[in-house]
Amino acid sequence: MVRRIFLLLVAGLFTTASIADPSDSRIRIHPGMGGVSDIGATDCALFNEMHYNGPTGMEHHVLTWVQGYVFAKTGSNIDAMLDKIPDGGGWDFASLTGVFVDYCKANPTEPVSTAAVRVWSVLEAGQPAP
Amino acid sequence: MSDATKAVAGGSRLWRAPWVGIFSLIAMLLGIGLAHAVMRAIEEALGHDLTYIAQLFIGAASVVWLWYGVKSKSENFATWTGFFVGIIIWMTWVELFYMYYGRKNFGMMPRVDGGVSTEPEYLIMTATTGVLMFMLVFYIFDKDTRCNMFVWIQKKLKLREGLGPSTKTARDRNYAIITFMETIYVTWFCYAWNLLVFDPAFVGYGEDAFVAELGSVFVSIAWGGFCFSRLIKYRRTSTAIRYGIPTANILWISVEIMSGWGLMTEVWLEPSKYIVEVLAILAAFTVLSVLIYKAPKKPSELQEW
Repeated sequence: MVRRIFLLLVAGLFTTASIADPSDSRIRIHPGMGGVSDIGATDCALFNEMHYNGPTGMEHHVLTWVQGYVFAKTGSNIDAMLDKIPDGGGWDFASLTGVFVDYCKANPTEPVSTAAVRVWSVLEAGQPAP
Repeated sequence: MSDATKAVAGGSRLWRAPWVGIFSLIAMLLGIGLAHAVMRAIEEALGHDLTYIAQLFIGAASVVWLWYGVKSKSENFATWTGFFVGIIIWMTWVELFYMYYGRKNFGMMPRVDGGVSTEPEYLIMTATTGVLMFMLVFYIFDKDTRCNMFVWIQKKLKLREGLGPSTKTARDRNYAIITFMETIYVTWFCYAWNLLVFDPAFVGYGEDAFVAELGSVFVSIAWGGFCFSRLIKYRRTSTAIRYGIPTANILWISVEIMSGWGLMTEVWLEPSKYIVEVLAILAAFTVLSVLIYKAPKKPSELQEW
């Protein structure tokens, strides 16, 4: 019995090694991971659902995405934009992410990228944190 | 002769095989659904941040209940206490830390497949499968285990002789703590099983995943059905409850998968939306539990240990 179990385990190991496909190199999120491969391509309804189930991670993910978005559009970054506002406008992680969280709550059919534009336009207008 | 023993001797037709087993299984299945509903209801009512704090205190309060169960000399009370506290501790302390670290502290994101398919806490929980497995090894090699499955494995592995006679008899056992650990371990095992079957990293998507899910449903019904065929022979309600816990949890695997296929709506996951249905389940569980708790007991269940 024990020998049979051992042989089964060895057979399982070889089978697993033989079916592994290292050639699959398409750009996509690893299937076991959380999140989405392109946050900008998702809509606010999915963002809202994901945010409810993983608020900190979603906020961090989107803020990082916004950083890239702002840099691509302006060649600048959020910190540089905050420097132009007196005393930084009182903005912090929670208030910055709160802009797109609130925007997506109010506009579930809009793409998340619109929420990013909203953050950018609020900062560009030099508005202080709500 | 006690009143309860007289009732048995008097020949209650209801509290005999197979009814004891059938009622116990139904109660345990309803209990699993209700546990989901209670957790969701607390989360909906308090919001995430307050839920973490509430879970800490609810769990601590349930341990006080366990204290009474462990001290009790009634097998019936101890068994029910172990079951309830086990399920409460799972819903509160266990889920609390997975939720806090997954959703808030580690800042993980849920897995998405169309909509949210796996919440961050369950992504972490899958990673505890190794811990679960090493505990499984301990139970397999523990000569004092009386769990039918582990004893069966020990016999198949020809371990019984090598392990030697158990140092404990049935009367040396504390039913509250045994049922408590059984509830938690079985819940953990079934969660891990379910989460692995739902993990696209292992089973893929679409048709690939369907094969794994179908196989899982088959194993769940065959294994759970086998346990049920044994359960319906039970005449002691306390023993039936303890055996009903794994039977219901194993069968519940199929419920989760069938829900994933869209064959049924898990009303217990949206208690505010399906309030009438959830209240009906609560009423059925309460009535059934009280009936089983107060059912005439076999003489062996009434003796103090």
